[in-house]
Amino acid sequence: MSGDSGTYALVKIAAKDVEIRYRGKVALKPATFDIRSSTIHSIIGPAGSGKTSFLRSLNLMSLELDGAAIKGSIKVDDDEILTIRGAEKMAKLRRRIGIVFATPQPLPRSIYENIAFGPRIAGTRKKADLDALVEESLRSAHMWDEVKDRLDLMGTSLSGGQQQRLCLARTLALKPDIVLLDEPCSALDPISTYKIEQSMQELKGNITFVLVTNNTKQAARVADRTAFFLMGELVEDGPTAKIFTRPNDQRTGDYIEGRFG
Amino acid sequence: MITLPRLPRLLHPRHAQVVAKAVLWAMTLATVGVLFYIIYFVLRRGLGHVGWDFLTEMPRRSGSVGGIFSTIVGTLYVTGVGVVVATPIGLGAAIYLAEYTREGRLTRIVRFGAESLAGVPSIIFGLFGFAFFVTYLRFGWSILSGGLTLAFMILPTIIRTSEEALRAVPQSYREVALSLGASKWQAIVRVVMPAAAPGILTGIILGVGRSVSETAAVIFTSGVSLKMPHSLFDSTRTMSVHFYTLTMESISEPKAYATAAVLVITILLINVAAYTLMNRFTRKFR
Ligand SMILES: Nc1ncnc2c1ncn2[C@@H]1O[C@H](COP(=O)(O)OP(=O)(O)O)[C@@H](O)[C@H]1O
Ligand SMILES: [Mg+2]
Repeated sequence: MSGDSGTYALVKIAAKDVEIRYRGKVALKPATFDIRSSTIHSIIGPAGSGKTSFLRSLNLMSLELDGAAIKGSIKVDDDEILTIRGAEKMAKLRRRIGIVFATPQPLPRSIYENIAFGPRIAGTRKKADLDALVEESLRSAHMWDEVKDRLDLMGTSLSGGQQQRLCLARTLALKPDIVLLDEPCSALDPISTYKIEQSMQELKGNITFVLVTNNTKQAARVADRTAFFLMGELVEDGPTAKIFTRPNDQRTGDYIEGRFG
Repeated sequence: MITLPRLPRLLHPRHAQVVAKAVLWAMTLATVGVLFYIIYFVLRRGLGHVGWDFLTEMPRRSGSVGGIFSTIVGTLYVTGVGVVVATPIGLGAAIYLAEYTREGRLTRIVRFGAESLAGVPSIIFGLFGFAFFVTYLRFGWSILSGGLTLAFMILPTIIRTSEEALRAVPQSYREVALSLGASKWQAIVRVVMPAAAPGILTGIILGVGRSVSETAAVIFTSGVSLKMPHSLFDSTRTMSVHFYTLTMESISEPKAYATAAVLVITILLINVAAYTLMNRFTRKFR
């Protein structure tokens, strides 16, 4: 378990000169920074800064669904992902790099089937294997005890906080090595927020988390490193403690102290 | 410039509003009233002659004696062929329109074509079916010819309702499926289509209703045989055509109305089913 920010930490995601445009309009100016293996890396910044665009580029959803054009290079474990094309390879990438959206998005099916969806598509057929995956994922998302007796309940009938933890569990069932979260707690109660933060901290030994958050306190609580985006620009990136106490850029301090955004 | 003479103001605007409302209400009531009267009219004359025997006996002596069993079977077969052929084609077109193309010239052309097809009088379909399936393809007057003709007729309904149903499925479902490693096609098959199923089914049921009640298109293509059909290439007579023949050839008024009663009840049940599904579907997503 190396959640530290030591000098020799492995680079999981290397973003180099990543520029994102939508129909010519720049959403993120060329940004370069590394996301280290087995850490929680948060991205903070006001709305419209390009946080979501960056996050959705890490699993190529911005490219495939939002009509984004991405320049530069994004390497995951030293492999370039921006050149990946084709349904099969995209699917493989998304099993490696899971995502949890801002609003909880359970599919209209049971808790069990929500979680089994990804593994089934990946080819897991045996009931026993699926059962085990469902249990393990729900435990990891701190939800097993709440729902173990009613796995056939519709995912959509859960409370918002439970729905979001179900979505986290569903992502974990893919056995990803990276999980992207886009303001996952923006609509959640404090207890569910706490449980999600706890899950991330427990799991970061095996999973690298990229956490976009509109809540600077959350970044301060859980993130090992933090990047600050402002109006389509990566202002700075560094260890969370440093960003929050001794930022290099005046604007970072202003944002953290709530002077704008 | 022509100025219209101003009409003297007869009513205060507030009263005009009340009057307008009353008139509109009366019109609505009249519509519903006519519907109920037709149902009442048919059932009162026909229901008395409908019994188990009527439904299960073969028609004899041109239908003046016996039941309508072979026409029920014929209706089922012709409708069945129509729906079985139109559903995959219609659904395929709907998936293409809703999932695989952006709005553009092509979608407009396809949609215009489908709308135009929907506006073609059914007797024209009958003539087309006769010329193409019966004569040119030599299917003869048959279940196959009738069913294929009906398939063309109900295709627009199935395309339109299915496309709407697919579009009503939240975009987020597709995103979630893709984010979990599904291909676009897997997302459509495993997530979008199940969510749209009630809406798609509504379109199919409406198609069934249209097929069951169709007369002109079928009489030219499936013929009027009262014999029990044994293959897709046999001629058959549907209930609607049977009713038409019994009436036009003054064969038997009681049998005609009894047939009409069965038809009306069938159509009512089909519409209630379609309506219920549609309701459940819209409540789910709006
Ligand atoms: N799908 C899209 N199409 C066009 N422009 C977009 C799209 N998504 C985001 N943008 C634009 O890109 C910029 C960055 O947005 P976003 O990445 O959502 O920022 P954030 O997540 O920090 O709020 C905004 O100006 C936004 O309007
Ligand atoms: Mg965002």
